[in-house]
Amino acid sequence: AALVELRRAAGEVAAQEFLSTPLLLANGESPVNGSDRRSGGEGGSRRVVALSPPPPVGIPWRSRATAMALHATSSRDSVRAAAEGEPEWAGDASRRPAAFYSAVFAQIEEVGWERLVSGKGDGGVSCLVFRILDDQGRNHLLEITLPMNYPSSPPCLVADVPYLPELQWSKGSRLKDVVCQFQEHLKILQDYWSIMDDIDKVLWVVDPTKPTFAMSHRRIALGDDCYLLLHVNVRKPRSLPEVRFLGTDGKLDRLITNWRKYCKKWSADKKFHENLSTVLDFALPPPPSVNIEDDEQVDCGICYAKHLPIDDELGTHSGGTTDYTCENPSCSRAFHSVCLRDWLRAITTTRQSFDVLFGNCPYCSDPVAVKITDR
Amino acid sequence: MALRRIIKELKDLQRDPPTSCSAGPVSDDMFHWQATIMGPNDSPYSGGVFLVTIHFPPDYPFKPPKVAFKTKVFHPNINSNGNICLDILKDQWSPALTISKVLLSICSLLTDPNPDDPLVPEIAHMCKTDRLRYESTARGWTQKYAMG
Repeated sequence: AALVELRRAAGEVAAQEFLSTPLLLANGESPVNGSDRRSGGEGGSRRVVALSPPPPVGIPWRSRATAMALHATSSRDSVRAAAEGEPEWAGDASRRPAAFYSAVFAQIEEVGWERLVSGKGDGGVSCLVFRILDDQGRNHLLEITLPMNYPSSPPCLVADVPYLPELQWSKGSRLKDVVCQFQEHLKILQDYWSIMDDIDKVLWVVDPTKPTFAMSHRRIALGDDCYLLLHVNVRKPRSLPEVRFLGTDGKLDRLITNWRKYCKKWSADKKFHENLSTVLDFALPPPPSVNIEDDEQVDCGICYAKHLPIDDELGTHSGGTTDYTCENPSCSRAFHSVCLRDWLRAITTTRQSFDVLFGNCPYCSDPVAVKITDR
Repeated sequence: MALRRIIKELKDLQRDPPTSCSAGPVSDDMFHWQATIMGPNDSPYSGGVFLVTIHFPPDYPFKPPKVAFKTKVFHPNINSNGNICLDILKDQWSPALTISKVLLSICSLLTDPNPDDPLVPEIAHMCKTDRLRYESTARGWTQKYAMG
């Protein structure tokens, strides 16, 4: 009899806790509350609603209803556990106290219900996912897991960032503090992401094709089957990165030598890709889409046109595109071989050997050679 | 071939005109242009506007254009006929050069005459031995022929 009395008292205490929740009083949602208490089935329905994405910002009352549902469900579970037989008593002790849920709901309110993406576990509040926008409009999902002895122990964070912030936590800390610290952390990471965006835009990145916010590596094509595997220092993104060279040896040797020789030229003041070009002493190719566009637009350095005229006298070259490129890497001017041949024939310094004309590039004076025959 | 390149150069000039120079075809003949060159500020030709004619050869750009001054100019490398002694208009011509670059080179020649390769020896001599008189005479010619 005494035991029965004790159980009833526990139930009453839980119910009273529920009724006295400041959230309830502040919201004035008594009718909804009453409805929840009367209908267990309805409670089940609301549990489903609680796990769906949050409603639009413009309808905060619905957010509060969701909170009510979560609260009511948890409270009812607690009561039900208390009402069950003696063997469940110990189990009840391992569940979170009712005060935990009301505190968490209040803290979610502080962060903003519109930011809550999902909640799961232990009545939907042990693992919370919030949506955080950074200064550049990037969307970040911050997952906060609340340990059993929260807030005595700090929560665990999961997010798509190269590294997590060191959480400043005390017993008096709240979820809002976690979100604020994460936002400050995102501000620190803006420079790093800006640099990664620049790399992805300017250089020919072959891997990863769709980088996540956390990825700090890039494999960059250098042409001729040579690649640069780049690891940017996530805490000092403007510092010299770690690099590995991949590909055929001939060209790589020069690049590796340049990297070792010139890495002191790396400057925090210059753009990342400019630093790479300087240290490698190499013009890095742009992304392939731009490359294709450039290729289509290449004019002959002599006639300033992409295509030769359509003319029977030009034979197979009629209407043709540029088919000769100066071999000087700093020049790389494109020509129609027909135009280049006509130029070489026009000057006295041209030399001929069998059917090949030897001369100098009109732009950089490096040696050029072109066949006389039209074939 | 030559016509296409000349038209391309004209479009480039119109899109991105160089400072202190202007050029364009005289009439319907794309092979005959007229250009004006403003006398460089740091030279005795300052304030003058010099008229220049340009004739493109039929095998341009494999041969250089013929450029000559129409306005009288007192310069060791420009004679009374307006002919210009400039290496890129002769043996140093290259298809990499354009009318725009030629005009800029002529501006440069006005600022820095080359008396060691003279077209008018008397002016070159004066330029070397009596710089003040050369500049004074050049300025006088500019006021007389290149202004108003």
